[in-house]
Amino acid sequence: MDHSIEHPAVSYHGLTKRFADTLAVDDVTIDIPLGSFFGIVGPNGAGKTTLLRMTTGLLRPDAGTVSIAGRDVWEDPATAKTRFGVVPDNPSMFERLTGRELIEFNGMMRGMDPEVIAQRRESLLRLLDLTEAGDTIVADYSLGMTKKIAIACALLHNPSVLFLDEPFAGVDPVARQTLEQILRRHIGGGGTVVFSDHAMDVVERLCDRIMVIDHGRVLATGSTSEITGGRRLQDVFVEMVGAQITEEGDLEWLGSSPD
Amino acid sequence: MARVFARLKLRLIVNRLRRSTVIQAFGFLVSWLLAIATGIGLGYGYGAALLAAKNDLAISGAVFTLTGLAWLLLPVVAATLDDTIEARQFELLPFTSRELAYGLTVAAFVGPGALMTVLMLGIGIGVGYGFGGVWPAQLAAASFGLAFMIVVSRWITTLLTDLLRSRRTQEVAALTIVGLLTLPGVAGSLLVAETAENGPPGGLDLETILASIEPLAWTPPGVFGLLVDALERKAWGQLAIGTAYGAVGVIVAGLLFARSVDRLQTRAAVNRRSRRRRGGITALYPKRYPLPRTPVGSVAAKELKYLLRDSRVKAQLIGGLVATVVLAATGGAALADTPYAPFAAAFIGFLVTASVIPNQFGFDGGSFWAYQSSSIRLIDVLAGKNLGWAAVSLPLVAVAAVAAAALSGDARYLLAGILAGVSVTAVFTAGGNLTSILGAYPLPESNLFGSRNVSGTALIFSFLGLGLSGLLIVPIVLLIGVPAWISGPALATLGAVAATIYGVGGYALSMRWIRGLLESRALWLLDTIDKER
Repeated sequence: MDHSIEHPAVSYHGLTKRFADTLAVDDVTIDIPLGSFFGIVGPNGAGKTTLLRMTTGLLRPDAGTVSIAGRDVWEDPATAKTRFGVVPDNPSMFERLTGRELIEFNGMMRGMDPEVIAQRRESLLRLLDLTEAGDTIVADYSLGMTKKIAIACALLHNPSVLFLDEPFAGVDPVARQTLEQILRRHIGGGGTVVFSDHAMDVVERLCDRIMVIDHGRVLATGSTSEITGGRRLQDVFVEMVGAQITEEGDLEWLGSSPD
Repeated sequence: MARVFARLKLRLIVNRLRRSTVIQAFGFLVSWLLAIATGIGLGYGYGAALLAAKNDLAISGAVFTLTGLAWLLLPVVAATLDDTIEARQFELLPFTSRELAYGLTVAAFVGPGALMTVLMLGIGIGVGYGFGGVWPAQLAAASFGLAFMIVVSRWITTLLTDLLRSRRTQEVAALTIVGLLTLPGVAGSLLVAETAENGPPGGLDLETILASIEPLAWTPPGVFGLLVDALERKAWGQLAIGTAYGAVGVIVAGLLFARSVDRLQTRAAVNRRSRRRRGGITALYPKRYPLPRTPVGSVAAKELKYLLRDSRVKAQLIGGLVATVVLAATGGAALADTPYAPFAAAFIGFLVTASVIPNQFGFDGGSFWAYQSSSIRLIDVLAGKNLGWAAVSLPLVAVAAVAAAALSGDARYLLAGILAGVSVTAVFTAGGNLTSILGAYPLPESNLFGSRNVSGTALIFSFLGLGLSGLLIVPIVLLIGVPAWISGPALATLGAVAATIYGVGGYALSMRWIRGLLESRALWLLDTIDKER
């Protein structure tokens, strides 16, 4: 029996969100164990980002609850927000601040001690290979550097849970390797990582638990080995969500001479 | 192709209405009605001026020139209700740059700005010259002029969009725009000064004014006014010259526009990296900022950093200060001859505060999520922003009061002037906080042109907020003005103390009151100003 299930890092109960006629998230009830590397996978429009936004206080659910380490995000947001860090899919930062200033600003906003901020800031910059770029304003960063500085801001207050929406999208292999190491280190220190991604190989390699979501519904959840059953996650995923196969003749014009 | 672009623009407008809430749709409708009403009102004004001046060419020249200037400057500096179509959206489609320039011009005809201009010129010409036989020809000439204005306007914005991909050119352009904006003010002030010198004592002389603005008829947009006038007078020579000049102008502007479209689509941006290594500059709290090391202080420090680095904020502030200098050197010079000069500080307080405060969260663009997902209270964010701007405006208020007192050589109202500035700043900050919460709109950091799709609701709340702040200033004027008028500086200073208590106390009370409002609007704010991420 997995005892960590008794003390979930994140707990969803009947979480639901509807946009007009579209049910974006449909009655999600699931516990994410403390210390797990949890991957959320699903096709485009499955509800992954909506779920993460509701979890991190950026979108109010229509029904249901979400708790971080026992604190309801929407009942007690101030306390819940001290326990998690978040990196959105396309993080807009205060881009006229330098990397160093941005990290310091985030720490000060959270009421952290300036000495602690300075110490952690330098070690994060070193770890993320941003020491040199620390005095450059964020507007001049590449996408990979922006993601790394966003992760530094999210980690600064040592949250117990880290939420990341497609953290590896648009990131080069070197930066990806660094990010993976940092996330593993966070898990090694007792933290929990929850992230969504389309790259099945990454999810399969990193995550010990997976949730497959489509049309807002949880199709499957469990340990990676339970979900895959020894097959490739890519194949299992396509089978679950149902790949759209084109009929012969539908696209017979494709590849012929341009009109 | 014209139909394709016009239909695309209409479709965008309709789709925007379809996804609007009832209140957004109402705001959208009101903004269009406002554009129509303004067009009709300005048209009657133009017509009445023509009648009063007996169809003087100078009137049409000036009206066309000022309309052209508005088309040139407004899309650059003002947020717009228009769903503008941008050249970049078509970069992968098989259009030549000239076809695209033509299509974008056609699309710009479908919008509130063009409707307002057509109404203004059509009604003005009709009322002023008569709706007789040549009116359709005059309206065609005016539409020809509008096409020129639109092409030039789109050319300038496309050129700037290309240039402004680099931060350094953003800075230069922002300050250039500020300079351009002050030109009409300087021209107006010079005209008033010249009329006062050369005109009859005690009033403005119409003929002097008309003679002063006559050269405007020969500016590129003014030539279309010349065309309209030549049609009325049946001055065939002028008509031929004006038509040729106008046609060449439209063609040249169109070619320049097409060239800019081509450059924008095919040239990569070059962004020079700045690396500042001196610790004092890169720290969030430089030693010269005596700010508290708290969440509120950190937001204030960030606002001050932005004042130095964000071209939008810099342009707003410098524009306000330049306008003040222009006003002080012209119309405001009379105040320097009185002991009341230090009260200019109140104007500075208003100007600096009103430049950014009414849309504080909008300047954060897509970064608002960082506040919302961290544990800082939003009321502390707002307080930090207010603190940052107070750190800018209050010293300027004091400097203005002291400088004005020195110029007038009379310091009896110095303290009252400074306190008036403080109380006006407090009241406008309170009003601005309210509009920041109720009528926020996104101003992404990378876009100097502001937001392309401001909701009508946001504009209505901005106007209401400014109106409310204006009303709340009345007690300050009474508390200081009445004692100054009845008694003198001593009683006026006492009144100014009371006004400061009213202003600062009112601000503090408003912060308590809007705390709940801010929390309840947080997700709306996130959704609204996060749009351009």
